Amino acid sequence: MEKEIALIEEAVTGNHRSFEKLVSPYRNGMLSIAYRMCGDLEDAKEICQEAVIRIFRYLKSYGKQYSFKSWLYKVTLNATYDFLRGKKKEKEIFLRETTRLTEEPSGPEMRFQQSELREHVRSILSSLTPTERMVYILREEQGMETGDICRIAGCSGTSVRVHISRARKKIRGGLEKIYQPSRREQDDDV
Amino acid sequence: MTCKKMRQMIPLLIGEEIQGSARETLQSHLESCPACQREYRSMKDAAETMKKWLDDTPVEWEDSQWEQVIRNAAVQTGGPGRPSWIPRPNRLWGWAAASAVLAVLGIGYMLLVHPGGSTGPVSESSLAKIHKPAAQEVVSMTFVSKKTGIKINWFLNKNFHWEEKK
Repeated sequence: MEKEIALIEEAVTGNHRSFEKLVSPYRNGMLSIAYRMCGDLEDAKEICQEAVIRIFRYLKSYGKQYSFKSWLYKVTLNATYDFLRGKKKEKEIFLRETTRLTEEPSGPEMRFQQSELREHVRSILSSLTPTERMVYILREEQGMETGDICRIAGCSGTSVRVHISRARKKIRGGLEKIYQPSRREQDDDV
Repeated sequence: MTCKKMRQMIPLLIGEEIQGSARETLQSHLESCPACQREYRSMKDAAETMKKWLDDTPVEWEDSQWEQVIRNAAVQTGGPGRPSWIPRPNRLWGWAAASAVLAVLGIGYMLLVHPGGSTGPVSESSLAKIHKPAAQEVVSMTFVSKKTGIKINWFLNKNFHWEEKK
């Protein structure tokens, strides 16, 4: 934490090297949040580019009363919402085919499994509202505490719990839809 | 605790969002209710499956792409956009260098316009200011006799030679 504050103080003076050291540990978290929210990897990278610019520009206004990670994710989410609002395509993006991720698994079978899995994740997350999706991703994928999620989402602890609860119920419903056909087939076989 | 209330709380119970006495109350109901146990297990399985799927489909930056993002940010925010291994000069040194350049230019200008000092016409008032007597021209000394009270004045020039008093 102290090291982070020292890096922030250096970065505020315009030191790009310190800024890079400060932000790099969270780069995959930022990309993941943007990607899970918008559903397209290239768009997620564009969002992260904008978020990094904003972070550098507004680093002076970072209040040290809560973690830098929370602040950084909040800026990333704001950039995501602005991007989605600007293009008015939240729904359309989710209906689009998922793009290639950074590393393709070797072998056609593995590749098929991975793409199928991604498709499942994409379709289930698309059934959530943006707030539910955001809260769920921060909690389950990024492992953040409720207090930090409150600060990022700008809502109360009760509200965060309600969104998480709804998201989990919808996800169970989505998984049932995915598994139901295979179960039905199994039942037919018996 | 009713089953209806329990079903509402199960999504939070699996994620550790409920703690303390409330959690104990829910767990004691869960132990005694097979229907709620099935609901709990179903919800927990779904949450674990989804968590595993998220972990199995990571999204990561390639190093070269991330470096490009930082470079772009540096350019966009008015920075030099230089590679990270080149240290950025301190802002204070920048101001000092700019001041030094201005000072050198100012001196150069003065030397070009007025080489060897002032050559143009100079007003008398400004000459009067410049040519003030550098030292006292005449020194006088007065001797007074204690007995008779006679005063003798000596006048000397700046070389301590007798000066005739006019």
